[in-house]
Amino acid sequence: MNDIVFKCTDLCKSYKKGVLVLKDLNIEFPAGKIVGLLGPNGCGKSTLIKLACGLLSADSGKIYICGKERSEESNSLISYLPERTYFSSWMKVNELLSYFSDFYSDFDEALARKMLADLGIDPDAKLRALSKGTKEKVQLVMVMARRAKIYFLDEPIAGVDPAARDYILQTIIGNYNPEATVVITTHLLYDIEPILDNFFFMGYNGEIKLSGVADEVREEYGKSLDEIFKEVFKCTQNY
Amino acid sequence: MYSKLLKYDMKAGRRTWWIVSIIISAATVIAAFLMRFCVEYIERDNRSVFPIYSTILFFVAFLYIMLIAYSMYGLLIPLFIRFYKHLYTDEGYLTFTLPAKRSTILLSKTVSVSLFSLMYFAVIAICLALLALVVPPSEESGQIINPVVYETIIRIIGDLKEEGWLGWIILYLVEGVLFLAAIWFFNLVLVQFCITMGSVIAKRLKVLASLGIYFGINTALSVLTRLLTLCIQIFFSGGTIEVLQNLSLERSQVLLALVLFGLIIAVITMSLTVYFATRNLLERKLNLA
Repeated sequence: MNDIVFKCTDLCKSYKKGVLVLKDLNIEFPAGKIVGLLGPNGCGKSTLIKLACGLLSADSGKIYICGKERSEESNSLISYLPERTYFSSWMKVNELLSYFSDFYSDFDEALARKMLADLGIDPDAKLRALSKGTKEKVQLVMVMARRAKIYFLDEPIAGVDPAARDYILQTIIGNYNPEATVVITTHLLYDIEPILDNFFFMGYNGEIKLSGVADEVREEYGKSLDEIFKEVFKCTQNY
Repeated sequence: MYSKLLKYDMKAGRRTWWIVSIIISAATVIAAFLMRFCVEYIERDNRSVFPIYSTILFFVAFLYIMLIAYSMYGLLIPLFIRFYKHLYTDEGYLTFTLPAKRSTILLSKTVSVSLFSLMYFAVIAICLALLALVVPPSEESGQIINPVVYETIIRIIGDLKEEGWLGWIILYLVEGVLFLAAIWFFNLVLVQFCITMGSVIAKRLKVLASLGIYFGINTALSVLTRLLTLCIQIFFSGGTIEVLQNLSLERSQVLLALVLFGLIIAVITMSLTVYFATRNLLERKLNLA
């Protein structure tokens, strides 16, 4: 499968006060792969994801989703897991399932219910009554129960305990659409590395320091990606 | 997609609307019977209790009017809080990643708050109609309902019809209602605009920024209104008033209808301008960092 599901050309984004986050970024994500978008805090990983999902407007450059320029229609192809909880607190879990079913034709409600049952989450529970960790799990279930073309998972294992991390990674591996691409942003490479097909090391201003097929690079360097990551981001003063 | 968005917006706001409606309805029933009770005692011309019951009547009426007046805040504030949270806080991550245009999302929210307002005014109208039936004391003892107010209205309508004024009065009433509805709608879209503007220009203290913009715009509108009133007074201080006084009755009726119509169009135009300004901000300027 050599199709490109995500592509950006000369992408630039800055926040106020002249803070340049992404500068002339050119990147492509292939179809059917688990891609690690890796880099230190503040390098622009989340910014790139948010630009792809339409939450931010680029200063310049283009974004293409499955060959078409990014628009609201692209949202039907993207399943996005942000680093924060985004549910309306007035809803119950059942209502959230209906919400996703209504808006996303690719949402597999039966799979979502099964995953929730495996987690022991009551479908009649109010979202506001759930703990933070449980809300995050509900959110992950909703995202992974979609048969999207591309999954953007922004820091899915940050701030969770090791047991929860294993669960999240198993959920990702066990439930995503095999024909789709999963893009995972994280700075916790050690836990993610075993599941990655491709990777991008992103530095300051969105500069791609190193990228490639994970197995090939590991073989070439004779080291794990985690070790290579530490070397790449240790050697430069400004990332 | 619009119908789905509207469905969930209505679902989200219905609890607030039900609470406000139940409170108003319960208050109406209590106030109606209390006022009826007081009016009946006063009508019996019992001088010793007249001060007591007239005072009670006054306070019941006052409290009821205050409740009705402030109940609209009880309805609108939660709806606007939800508008803000759903678009400009973490919930916006879900809203703006839906496969729906931002303009459609805004339209759905505007229509839902308008529908809730319409239903709110329908409840108010029913409650006032109930008051008009219950408060006037009946000549027959034990009879709760007294249609004297409606009989009076029907008699007035008959008199107006005989004098040829009925059509014009109905037109003025319709235009008056449309004018008030347009003003109400303008205020709804103005609040949405201020919330959006505050969220676009301020990264922190968005609510404070929105409030500041709202009060700023209202102050500016007040100043403009006063200037306009002053200009109208100057305009009419000359010979214009004499010209108007010499107009025939038919021409005066038409002129009044046209003035009201012009005001409605002006307010609707202002409302649409504000609405499309909000839409433009949402589509081009909003960044959810």
